[in-house]
Amino acid sequence: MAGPRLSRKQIESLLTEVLTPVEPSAQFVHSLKARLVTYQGERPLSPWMLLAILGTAIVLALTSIGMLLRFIVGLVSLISLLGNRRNTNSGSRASA
Amino acid sequence: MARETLDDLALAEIAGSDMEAFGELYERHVRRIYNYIYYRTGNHHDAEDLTARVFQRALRHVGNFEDKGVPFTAWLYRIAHNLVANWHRDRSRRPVIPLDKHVVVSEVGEHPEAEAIASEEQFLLLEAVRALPDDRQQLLILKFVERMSNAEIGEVMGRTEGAIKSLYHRTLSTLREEVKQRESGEAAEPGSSESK
Repeated sequence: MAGPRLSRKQIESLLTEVLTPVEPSAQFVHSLKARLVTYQGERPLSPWMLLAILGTAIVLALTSIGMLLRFIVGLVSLISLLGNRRNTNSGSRASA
Repeated sequence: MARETLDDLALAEIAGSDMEAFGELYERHVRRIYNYIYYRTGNHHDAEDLTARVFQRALRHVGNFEDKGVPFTAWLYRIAHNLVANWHRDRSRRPVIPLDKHVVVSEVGEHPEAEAIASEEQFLLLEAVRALPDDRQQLLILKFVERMSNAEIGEVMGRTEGAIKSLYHRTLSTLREEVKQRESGEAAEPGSSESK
């Protein structure tokens, strides 16, 4: 089809037919907006934020372990104290 | 204050700290940026990827945006243009299939023979458009897809209206030559377009 050269009008008309607006998918538009506006940026967490969260979690874990150990030691002390008192009472009753 | 009533520049001024303002700018411009990138890359997948990167970059730098008399759209197009240029640099070949589909699907009617010729002309024209330098492709996309005036295109591309008009005339002449050459090539090698 090596015909005569297309006229300027024909080229413009063809360009109008070929270069038409396309619509991005609604899902893409909404999910990108959610990523940008709701989560503010391309990463949900920055490395520094991640480090801070990890550090806080470790401190909280250590604190809670310390609290638990203190509670256990306190409980054991209470039990042994009660045991000693019971032994002392039964000993004094026997001697009387 | 309703953000919908503010113009782009007013929104851009507060968008660095106001995510809803940035969201409004996004809603106004995402489709045109997507269109621009789609015609520069030739496929929806890369268009989505690059559109996302344009707005991520815009979000990071919108706080530094200054009103220098250039529309906010021009700033976004500049980002898109740079990212597309990097995209092309990273790839040695340019994908062609989706745009061809776009042309073929668009035309079905009562005169299949005439439409086949028109479709082939469109195919050759798209190939010729993709062979143009970046700035000329950008000009055609802004003019025909976005329906911008020469003055608006000049603002986006950082050139005068006269320079755009001149570039447009040269681009059309180049396209006429290119299409003619490609038609001659097609005639010399029958069936060569089928393999594409």
